[in-house]
Amino acid sequence: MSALLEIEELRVRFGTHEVLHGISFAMERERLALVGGSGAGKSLIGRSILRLLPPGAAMQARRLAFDGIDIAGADAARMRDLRGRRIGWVLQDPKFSLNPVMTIGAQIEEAFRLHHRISRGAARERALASLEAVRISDPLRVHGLYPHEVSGGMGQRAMIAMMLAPDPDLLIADEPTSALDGSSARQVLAILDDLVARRGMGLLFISHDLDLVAGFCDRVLVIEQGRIVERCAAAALGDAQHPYTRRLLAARPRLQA
Amino acid sequence: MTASLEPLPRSAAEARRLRLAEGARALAGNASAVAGLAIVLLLAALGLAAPLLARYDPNLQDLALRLAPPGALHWLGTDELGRDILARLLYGSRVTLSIAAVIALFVPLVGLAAGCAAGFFGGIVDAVLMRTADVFLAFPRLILALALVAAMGPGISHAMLAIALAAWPPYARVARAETLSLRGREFVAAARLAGASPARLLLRHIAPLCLPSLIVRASLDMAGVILTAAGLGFLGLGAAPPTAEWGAMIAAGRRFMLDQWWVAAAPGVAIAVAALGFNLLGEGLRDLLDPRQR
Repeated sequence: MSALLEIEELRVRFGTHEVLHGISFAMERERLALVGGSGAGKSLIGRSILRLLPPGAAMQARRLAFDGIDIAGADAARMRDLRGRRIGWVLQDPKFSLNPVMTIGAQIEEAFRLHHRISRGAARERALASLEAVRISDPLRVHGLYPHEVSGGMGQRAMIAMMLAPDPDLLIADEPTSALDGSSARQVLAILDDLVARRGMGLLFISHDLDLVAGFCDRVLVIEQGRIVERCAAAALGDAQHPYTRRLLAARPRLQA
Repeated sequence: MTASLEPLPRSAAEARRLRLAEGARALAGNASAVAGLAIVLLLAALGLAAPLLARYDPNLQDLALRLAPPGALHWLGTDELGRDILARLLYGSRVTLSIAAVIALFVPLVGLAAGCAAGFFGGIVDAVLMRTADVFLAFPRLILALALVAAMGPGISHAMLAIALAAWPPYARVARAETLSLRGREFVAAARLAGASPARLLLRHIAPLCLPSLIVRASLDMAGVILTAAGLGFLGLGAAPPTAEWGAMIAAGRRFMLDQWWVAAAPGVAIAVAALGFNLLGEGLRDLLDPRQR
């Protein structure tokens, strides 16, 4: 069986300025981390997978395939069907990524109904179930709340519920915890971890936080200036060889004894 | 704000009720908005109840009593054909208010559609729609409406169409500006990432957020629309005689201004009061709806 996601020689240019210089990797239904400093091109890789690049960016790839579907050659309708239904995306900050004038429940229902023809009642059931799946203790209440009425951690869990409702095969999480405080971040990670394991999804985790990634993912790809400079198992990150990875490791804040 | 001390709503419906109540309280606290609302509601009630209130048929001529001064028989006097001015005012408010209502309903929607499409799709769509809007904006509204009615021929529906055509560009501008600031927002990206089509993004996620500014704009615009409608009537391009219309009534009374002042003064006062009412209401609504003012 082929890999869930295959990328070969992915290049992205802004005009004549190339920012991704031939990225190649493949992933199964596993937890894969993309790590790198800001501007390294991590998010751009994620966005290329959904073909939602910022205006002015042009991409080309020898092969870019999701579950055997050629993404580079798919038409717009095909891509819309992939987005959300097969590939979910959790954005960074729930304060901005939820529509301020729709209730959380309505947004989850919409995300689901985009891809499935079901009645309002059934969508509501489904939304409540996904809120429960992200460990929201009172789904009925949260369902009717507006995004400004919930905390950051709650909002991010709602966002995850929204992206999980259509039951995607691959979840891309772009710095899902960097807008949250420490304890909510851990909680959100635990939920992500649990859901990915239970549903057998692939998780592409984009982060700049090495400690987090080392404890959470199976494999790590370190990106520097548009190139993959290190591939290793997360557990072996401490033995990484590449100077950039060593610098990243050395840059972690440490409480000195 | 002391709102956080109040009991939290338990459901979306309750939250909506609370918000409405809060809005109503805020509106009630604004004296000029209340006055404006009262005037507009009163005019609407008078227009609706015109057949009950008017003691005469507005088109009934009584040449023996032409140009009678205000008195017990004809409270506001009669015009040059002996028609009761009060009855004509009451029926005339129907014309004016229906023009205002039609414009208030349709023009913001047209502007919303054009502005959102221009802002969202950009490029050639933006260029075509906005340059068209610029052409309409280049003429003063009354002059443009005049030219359009003159081309189409007089009549109430033509006047409405002309005013609508002259009025939509500012709405499109506002909607486009809102759309530009909204389309880059994360929640729009999130909806797109969830697989939403451009049409859905526009209708569900962008257009609803543009509405408040357009409602504010529309409510402030109504006074101007009433004046434009009356202006067209005055120039004989609005309602065709013998239909009672305020602008046309002033035009007819103009000839007797010095000796029978009430013929022109009554519709003039009516227009002024209506414009004032809509203006006060519009400003009250703006204070209420525009979050930037808070």
